[in-house]
Amino acid sequence: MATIQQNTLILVWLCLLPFFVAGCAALFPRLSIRFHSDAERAAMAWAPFSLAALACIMGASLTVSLLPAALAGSPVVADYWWTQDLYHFRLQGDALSLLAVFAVYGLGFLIHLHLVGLREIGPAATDVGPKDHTGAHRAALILAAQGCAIAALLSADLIVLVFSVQLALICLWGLVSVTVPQRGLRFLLMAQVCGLLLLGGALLMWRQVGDTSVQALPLLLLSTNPSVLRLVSVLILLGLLPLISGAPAYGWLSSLLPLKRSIPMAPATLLVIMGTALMLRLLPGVLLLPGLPTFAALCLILGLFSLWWGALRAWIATDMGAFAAWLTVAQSGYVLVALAAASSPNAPPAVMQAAAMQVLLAPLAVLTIWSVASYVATRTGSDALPGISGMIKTMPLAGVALLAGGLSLAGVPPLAGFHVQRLLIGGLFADARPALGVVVILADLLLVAAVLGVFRQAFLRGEPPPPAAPASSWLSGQLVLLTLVIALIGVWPGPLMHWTEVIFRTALSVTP
Amino acid sequence: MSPFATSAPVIVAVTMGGVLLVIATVMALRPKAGTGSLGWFIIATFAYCILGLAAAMQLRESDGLRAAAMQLLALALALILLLLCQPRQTLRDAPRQGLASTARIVVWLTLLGIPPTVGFHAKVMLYRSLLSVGWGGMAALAIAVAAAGVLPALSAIGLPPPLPLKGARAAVAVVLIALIVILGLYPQPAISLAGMVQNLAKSG
Repeated sequence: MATIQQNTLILVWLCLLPFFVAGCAALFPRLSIRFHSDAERAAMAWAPFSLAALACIMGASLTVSLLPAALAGSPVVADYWWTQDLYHFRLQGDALSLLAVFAVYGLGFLIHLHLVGLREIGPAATDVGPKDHTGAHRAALILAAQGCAIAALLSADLIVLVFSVQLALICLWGLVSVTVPQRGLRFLLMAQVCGLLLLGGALLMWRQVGDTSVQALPLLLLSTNPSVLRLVSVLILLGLLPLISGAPAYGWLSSLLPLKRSIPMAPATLLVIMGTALMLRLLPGVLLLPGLPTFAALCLILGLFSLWWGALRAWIATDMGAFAAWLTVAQSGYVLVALAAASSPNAPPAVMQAAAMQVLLAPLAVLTIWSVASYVATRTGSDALPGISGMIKTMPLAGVALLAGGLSLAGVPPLAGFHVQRLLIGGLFADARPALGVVVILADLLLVAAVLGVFRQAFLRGEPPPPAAPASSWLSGQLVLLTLVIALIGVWPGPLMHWTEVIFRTALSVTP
Repeated sequence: MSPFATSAPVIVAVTMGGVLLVIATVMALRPKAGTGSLGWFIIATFAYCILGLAAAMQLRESDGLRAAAMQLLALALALILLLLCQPRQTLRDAPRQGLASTARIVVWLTLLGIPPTVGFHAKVMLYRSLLSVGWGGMAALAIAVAAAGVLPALSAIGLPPPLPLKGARAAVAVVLIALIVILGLYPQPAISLAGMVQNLAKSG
């Protein structure tokens, strides 16, 4: 009993930790102004980001401490009334949500590490003046967005989930606006549209079964007619689609491209994790049934369109920022294709397992590409492909990281993404859907061509490399870490495979 | 189609609410509406209250009255904040004024029902009450209006910043912003207040 209480406390703390540290990061400049000179404060500009990075390490460690219970199939639960008779604040730490929370904290650490490195290079790298508090506000808003994403991922009540998703988008809007006013308004639009679609689905479910708890989802099958079930699933799918940047909802990414490359990094990573994990939590098992051909067809069409449109646009991209943005769009295609494929009556578990692995591996690859774009743009002043060349001599690390991230997304062995593609394509062939498998393989080949094309243009061309600012050891360390993690999971996928097997057996195998 | 028999006053109320909602939203969405779009959206929020009342008239056990009271509370807080911040003139080259800009954003968020504001809970209660009396179409219309309302909000937030808030006005604005956000994060006091209004109305 004592163990359960301790785990419950950890679960609640996982939700609260980012907000607590966000408050500390936001207050940091106001406190330091009382004790330090201007020069000292300028020298400590990286402190809020390092505080955030430390909080992420703490959060990731606490998440891992809950794993034994979750992997044994007994989720950690916390249940509080938010209001007396309307909403429950139910938190549920199962294998799927803990994988996503681990991804939010782990990748959040790498984002903050990157921002520490940028601050070390100088204020010009982050669009921040020497005396304003934008850096601290930025760290606080990224943490707040992380906290909201974690609340959404752990939430077992759909209304709380909608609230958290919308709030995460509002925090990301603030993150963009605090750096460049009037930018990022699309996040507000997205918050409202996604929120209302999800809310529509949740309220329809409430009308049918009288509860908005995720545990009540199976009751839908018993108490509703197929058309309502189809409507609920399509509303939830469309509500979550913009989060994973799937076509045609990728507009927010392109709106951020004129800004510094470090700005879209946090939104792209956090939203990919949140969107993918929530899709897996809400759609399979109950709503993604063989009896819902409309949903499966819609999922497949959107998935293939996202995959091919993203891959084609990445192939013709003229700067690294656009390349990263279109790869972010392409990755959503894999998740949607896996969801659609899982609706087949004979679909092997491998297909859903591939989608679960994407919760960690897709944002990891996406973050690597964005980090390389930001690294190159910060050191050379531009990431436009016609203007940069021969950089393998000046920044070989960036070249290696670009290959690792891009080729992992395309499923090239021995990188981490290979295991996702192996499971997905193997599952499609095992389910006698070879045509779909071939289409995915062709998209993979296009992605490989796009990655190699960008690598050749930026790193291998014979022209002299552009002048580059000195590298920050923090930035280099972050790229090394990203590359190592991708390679390590590639050659030693055992723990992640075990984790996703448990996800398939527990969180995704909901039956009425 | 509602499973309950609908009386004439209910038909009048729900029709009035629906028509007012559509007209106000269309007027707010006009390209020429400019700053007037906020005024039209406030009228649309009144229409939400009427729909809540209609739901309560249709079925006394529904949450309609409480939803209407919550909606009125959110609207009242937003209106007071708006009156404090309403600029007598806008200066295109004026420096960005943090508090006044924040107040304007919070007003829009609560009117649209976006977290972390009390308006979110008011809207959710209203949609639930409409669904509970079987008015699915009206709930869909109300949701669609909330989605459409974000377009004038995007234009309004992009307008030149309002004049700076100073002194007592700034202090009151800070309190109101905090109240809207705190009631958004922990809505129980607002829900209890709305419940009291509901009980008073029922006992009357």
